[in-house]
Amino acid sequence: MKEQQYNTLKDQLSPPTPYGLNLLKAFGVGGIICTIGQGISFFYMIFFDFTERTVGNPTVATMVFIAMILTGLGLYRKLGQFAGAGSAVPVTGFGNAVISAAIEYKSEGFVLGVGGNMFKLAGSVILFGTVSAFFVALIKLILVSVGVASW
Amino acid sequence: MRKWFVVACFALLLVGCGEREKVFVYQSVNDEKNKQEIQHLLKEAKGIDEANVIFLNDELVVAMQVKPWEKWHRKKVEEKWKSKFEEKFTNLNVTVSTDFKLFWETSKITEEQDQQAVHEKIQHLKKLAKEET
Repeated sequence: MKEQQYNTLKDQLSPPTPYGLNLLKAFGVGGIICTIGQGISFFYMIFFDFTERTVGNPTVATMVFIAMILTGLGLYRKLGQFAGAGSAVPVTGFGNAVISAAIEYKSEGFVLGVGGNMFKLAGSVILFGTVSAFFVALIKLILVSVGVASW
Repeated sequence: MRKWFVVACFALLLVGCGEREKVFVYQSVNDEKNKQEIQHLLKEAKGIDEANVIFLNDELVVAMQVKPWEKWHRKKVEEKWKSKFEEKFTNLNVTVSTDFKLFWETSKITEEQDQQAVHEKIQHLKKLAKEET
C-alpha cells in the first residue's frame, strides 16, 4: 500500500474531528480558569496588601500550586482530556507539565529521575515564555514610544 | 443542577441591579460647595466608572475605577486628573490612583469616623500605591 492510499483510507475510516466543539470546550474551560485566577487576585487584594500592580505574582503562584495538586490527584488529566488547549494554555498548564514529568520519572530515582526530568516539558514553557515576554515588552515599548499606551 | 444554574443567573442579575453613588466624597471639614463641584467634575468624565474622594487636612486622595479600555493608559489618566486637581487645590497634597486596592480601601474609609485612623490608613495606601513589584 502506497503512502497516499494509506492516507486516503485513514481519512475515510477515522471519525471527523469536532473542531467547533473542541474550540468551545477550550474557550469555556480556559475562561473558567481565568475567572478563578481573577477571583484569587481579588482575594489577595481585599485581604492582603497587594495592589493591582503587585498581585500577579501571588496569583500565578497559587494557580500553579492548585494545578500541581490536581495533577498529583489525577484530576488535571481528566480536565486536559476534556478541554485540551483550554487547560494547557493558562499558567496552570505549567504546573501540570512539571508534576506530570516528575511523576513519570519517579521510578528512575529522585536525583536522576525526578530532578533530571522535572523540567523536560516545562523547560520549553520557560524558554518560550521568556522569549515571548521579551517580544511583548518590545511591542509595549514601541506602543509607549508612539504614545498609544502607557507603562 | 439546572435549577441551581437558573438561581445563580437570577442572583447575578439582581446583584447587577445594585445602585451605588458614582462619586463618593469624604471630608474632614464639611464643605458642600466643594463636594458638589468635585462630584460634578468626576460624574461628567466619560472614562470613569466610580470614584472615592477623600479630603483630610492637607491631603486629597482620589481613588477611581476606570472603564476597561481606559485601563490601557492608566498612568495617563492618573496624571491628567492629578494635574487637574492640583490646579484646583494648590495647597493640597494630591494622590490619584486607578488601582482597585486603593478604591476598595477608600470605600471602607468612607464609613470610618475616627480621623486619626483615616490619616494612618491614607499614609499606608500612599505607600502601597508607590510599590512597584
